[in-house]
Amino acid sequence: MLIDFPTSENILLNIQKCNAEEESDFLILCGEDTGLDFSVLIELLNKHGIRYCGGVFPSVIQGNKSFSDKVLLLPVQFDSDPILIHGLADGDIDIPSLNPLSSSNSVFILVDGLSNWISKFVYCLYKEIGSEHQVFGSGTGYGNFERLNCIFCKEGFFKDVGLVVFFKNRITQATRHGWKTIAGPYIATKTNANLLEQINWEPAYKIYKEIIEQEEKVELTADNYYEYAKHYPFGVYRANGENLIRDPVALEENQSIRFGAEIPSNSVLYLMKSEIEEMLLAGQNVCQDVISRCTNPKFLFIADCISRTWILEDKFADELDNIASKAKEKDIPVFGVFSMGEISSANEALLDYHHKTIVISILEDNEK
Amino acid sequence: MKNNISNIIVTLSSLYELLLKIGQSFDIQENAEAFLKTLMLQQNLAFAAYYTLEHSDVMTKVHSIPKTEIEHNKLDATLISALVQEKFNILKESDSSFNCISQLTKLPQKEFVVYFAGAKSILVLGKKNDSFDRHDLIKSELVLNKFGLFMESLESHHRIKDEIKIKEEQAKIIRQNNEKLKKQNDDLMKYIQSNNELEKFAYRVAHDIKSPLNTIISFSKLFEMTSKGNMSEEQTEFLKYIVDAGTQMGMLISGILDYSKINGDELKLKRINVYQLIEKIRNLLYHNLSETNGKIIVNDLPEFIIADETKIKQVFLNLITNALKFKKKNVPPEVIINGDAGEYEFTFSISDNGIGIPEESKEKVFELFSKAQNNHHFDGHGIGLSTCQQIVNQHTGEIWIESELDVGTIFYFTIQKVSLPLEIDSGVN
Repeated sequence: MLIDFPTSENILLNIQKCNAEEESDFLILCGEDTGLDFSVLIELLNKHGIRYCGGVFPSVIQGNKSFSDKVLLLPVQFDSDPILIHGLADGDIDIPSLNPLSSSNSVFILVDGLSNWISKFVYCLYKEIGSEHQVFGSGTGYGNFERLNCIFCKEGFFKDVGLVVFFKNRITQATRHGWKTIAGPYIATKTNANLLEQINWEPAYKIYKEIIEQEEKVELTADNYYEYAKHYPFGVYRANGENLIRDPVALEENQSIRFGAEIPSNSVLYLMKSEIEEMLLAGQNVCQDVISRCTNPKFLFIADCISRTWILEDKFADELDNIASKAKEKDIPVFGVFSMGEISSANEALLDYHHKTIVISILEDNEK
Repeated sequence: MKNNISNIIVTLSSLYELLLKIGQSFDIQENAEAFLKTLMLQQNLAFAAYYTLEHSDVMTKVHSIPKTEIEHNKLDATLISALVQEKFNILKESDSSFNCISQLTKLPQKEFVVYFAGAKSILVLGKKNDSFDRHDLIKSELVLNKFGLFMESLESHHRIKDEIKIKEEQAKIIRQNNEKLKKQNDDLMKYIQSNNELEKFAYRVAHDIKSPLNTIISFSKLFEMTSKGNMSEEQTEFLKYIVDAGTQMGMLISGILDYSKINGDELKLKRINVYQLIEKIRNLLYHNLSETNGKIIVNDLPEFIIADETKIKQVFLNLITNALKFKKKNVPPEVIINGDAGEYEFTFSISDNGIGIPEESKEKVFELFSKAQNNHHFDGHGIGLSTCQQIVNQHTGEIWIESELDVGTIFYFTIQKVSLPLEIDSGVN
């Protein structure tokens, strides 16, 4: 349910309306321009004993529309209290013993999309929960990359945290990005967490710059860097699947490149490029794939990377139209967020944190 | 062709990445984790674990991703024979050995690969919803084997390091004990030295006091003899106090002199006839025995012992004198002497039918200047039993008592059996 004019009281009122029909727990996903006072909202919801968690995103999605000033209220059945995990700023991540119930089928994750140690967090989480549960989730944060609090639950409003909650619902999910390889393979010969210092024993930016300038026929400078770089991410090689996309968000000293998540040392890299049609096709395919496999859909949840909206620009409306029309054929409600990174267990292997990717998950209604 | 070369480069680069994860630190868990994680990411694995093989068929877990609870598992015989033939084995759900591995993970997996690497390393890899490519596995075989060998070397390194650490700790404890012993020894030497000096001092003082004291006593007696009839009764009584006190003091000084001399003198060992020794003491105590109607009964004794005659005589004398002294009123004292030759020592006992020693005084009777009976009827200075203890200790023996109030007291002491050098032994009958 989309709340058009969100205030704390209005959100509570809508929760109470939902609960009058069926007692639920709530995901509260907020656009970055709602102007909500989160401390007031948290106090109010806690006072009324509501079980909830949520985050702030550049925009939220309902149907084929996106909104930065509205709130998406999703009634779901939690199978645990939301669990807050700290340490994503310095990598000192201690995952508590999670002990999921046998009734738990899936895990929803929110993570501060601008934290330094997201991949490590996702990896540590996998070590605890393994491959038994389907996992879906999204990076939270603001489109201008400002470091502000972006995840909330009954404990408060935080940044540099992860939040984990078990659902009773099963999910069907798929993920694609549609990026194409244009150069490589390279070896990430020197890295430091999310800083790529050398490729093939040479300064990373030197090699990157040469290729971009050759492709775009422009001189790449510090000023126009991301205008072009957003179209040329790196892909970390994965056998038997799509490469893992890493967004080269900023230039750093000594010709190093900073990424949105860690680059493993000595990993095999490819340089990728966006082709609008390929990316749109990826969105369509992933939607088609998921819808064809689901059995009792409750709603469809899209985590679509904010950088895809920047690349697709006007065409992004087509991506949402494509998904919404496919879902409409099966009467599946569509909700989602513009994400700051995506989490999915669609590859049914070790979990990883994706960038510039679309993840579609359909929550299956267990009762039908 | 270009694609082929590109594929080979990717394969080599992936193997290079994997290879560089081996040996990044000296920590077994860190190494296993870095390697397994990279392997999982590269190969889209849902499970990876490293085990070591013990007793030829038991797998012991070193590290797994995700965490698993089972630490040990017996390997299926079919799987062992398959691994003997080939380094790895792909297990599908329909295979008989599948359960043996799947129960390790407790996670739903479609296929497992079990690698036998190094000399006793087992790698278990799992895919949840995908199949393994035999050709890809062959490509990784050398790197996995190298990983196994490295982990085994690392384990040996840690085992040796642990052993060295234990030995170093033991050596440290021995060093500390030696230092403690040396300090105790030094303290003991200081104590002995100071004790010796104190004994010399006591001897010197006692000796020097004894001479003027004798003068006082002698001249007091002389004064008494020459002034008979010229002194009042009160003056005569005062003079008697002087003589008695002087005599007491003289006895005390003699006791201190004897006591302080014990440690100073070396033992002069010789063969002693114990019966004859007791007879000499009986003669010495003749008057005492006559006055009290006392008896000394000598039972079976070892005929000969080897000891310092003067000192052992002192022990018997002090103990028998004590037995006669602490007699019951109107009851003639009876002293019984027993002796027994054990394998390593002689044990003697001197028992009496005296007044006994109160329980609270038993522990203190051998302390210097300690008196078991604080009764003015029994004179003494609390030196005799300390002297006995010193002498017995010099003979590497022990002394103790059993006593019951109004029944009597038994003193026991032992003397270590020693043999004399032939020339000394043959010179004495």
